[in-house]
Amino acid sequence: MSDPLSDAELEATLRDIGRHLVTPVTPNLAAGVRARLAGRREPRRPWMFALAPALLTVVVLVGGATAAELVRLRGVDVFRVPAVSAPPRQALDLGERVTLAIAGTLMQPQPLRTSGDPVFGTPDDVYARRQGNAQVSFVYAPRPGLPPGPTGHGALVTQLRGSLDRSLIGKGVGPGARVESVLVGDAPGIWIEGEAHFFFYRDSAGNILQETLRLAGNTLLWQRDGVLLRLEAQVDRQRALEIASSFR
Amino acid sequence: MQDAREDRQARRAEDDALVARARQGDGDAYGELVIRYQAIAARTAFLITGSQAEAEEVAQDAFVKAFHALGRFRDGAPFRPWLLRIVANEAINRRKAAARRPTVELTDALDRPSDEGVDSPEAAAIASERRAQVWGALARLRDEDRLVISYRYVLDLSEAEMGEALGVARGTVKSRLSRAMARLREVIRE
Repeated sequence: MSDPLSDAELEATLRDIGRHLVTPVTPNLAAGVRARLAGRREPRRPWMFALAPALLTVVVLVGGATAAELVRLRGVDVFRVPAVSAPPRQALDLGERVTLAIAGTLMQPQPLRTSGDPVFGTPDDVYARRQGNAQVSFVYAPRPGLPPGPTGHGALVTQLRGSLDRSLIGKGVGPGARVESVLVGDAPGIWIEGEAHFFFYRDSAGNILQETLRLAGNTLLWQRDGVLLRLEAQVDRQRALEIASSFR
Repeated sequence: MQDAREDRQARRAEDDALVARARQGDGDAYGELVIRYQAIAARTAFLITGSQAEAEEVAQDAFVKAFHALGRFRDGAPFRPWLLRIVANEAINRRKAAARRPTVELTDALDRPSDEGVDSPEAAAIASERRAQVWGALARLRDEDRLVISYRYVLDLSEAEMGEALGVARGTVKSRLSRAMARLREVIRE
């Protein structure tokens, strides 16, 4: 620049920098801080303890502002872990088994239901949690086009309704898994594919509910009408998006 | 103007209440403080480290340290500048330990599209050139100078907040800012 900046121009330029600066896409630091603070207070199981340094550090999956946005989904935090090994038991703790009608009374308005998908009709089993955030899970048995995943089920669709200002779901993703942002219609989502990843729920204080921790297969998370939905099924991304779009 | 002042006062009162609860061990209250200030904490760390990934780690570490330091938090003091002081110290220490200068990529750091309209493509080009020049000069300043300028103009802290964040009197803020701006001008002229 040939002409020196006046005082006013320099100050205006500095303020302009503040408006244009691309600073870190703020992840859910609250979840990571809570986890670390909780980690100081609470004893962990031995295998969990060994995993903790990797699990409890929030790391953006890939560098750069655009890439960082891949993991932004309210209510969900994704951790990169150096390796994934199976926890001592594969818990599938979905709450209590209920009928569709009861699930409808527990989650107001009604849980989103699939419409128009040839495979995803009435679920084979329905589970619900009555405490904390309203949570309803649909379980589908394996069938043609729906091979069994790590849990032995064909597909699992869980819906959570509650405040998404804090992390409800955590995921520990190893180097063999790919994570990308997707749109389900116009709703934001995250698609995780490849190597199985850790999955767990958090309680209202942000602590890991250890009984829910297990390995999960290909997973799509998305939000619709204030509900956080999670589809776990051994299908490809395109098929997962088709299934997700049918839930209304 | 009055509305803005009332908003600040209301926010300050909320902060005071959250801090009081957090000091009693209320994790939800501290989580609320983290959500409130995680963005400015990450920006502060980024301005010092020049690394987005490192800024997030610094911010998270600072929040954890701040929680454990709440017992030493002065009653009645504002939380935000107190937190930023911890963030800045953490970022400076980490960068000194790594013995390197900030490594901000200008094209990455300043590519946020403007929310404001511009007069013309020429005006936009000149503004962009100025930002790049000043940002480059800012990155070559000492941490202390870059921090005081960034607090004032980039993060838009008040002088009172700057005093708290820097741990100096309000009058010292003015003299430090004046000296830092003079050094920034020198670097720009080089």
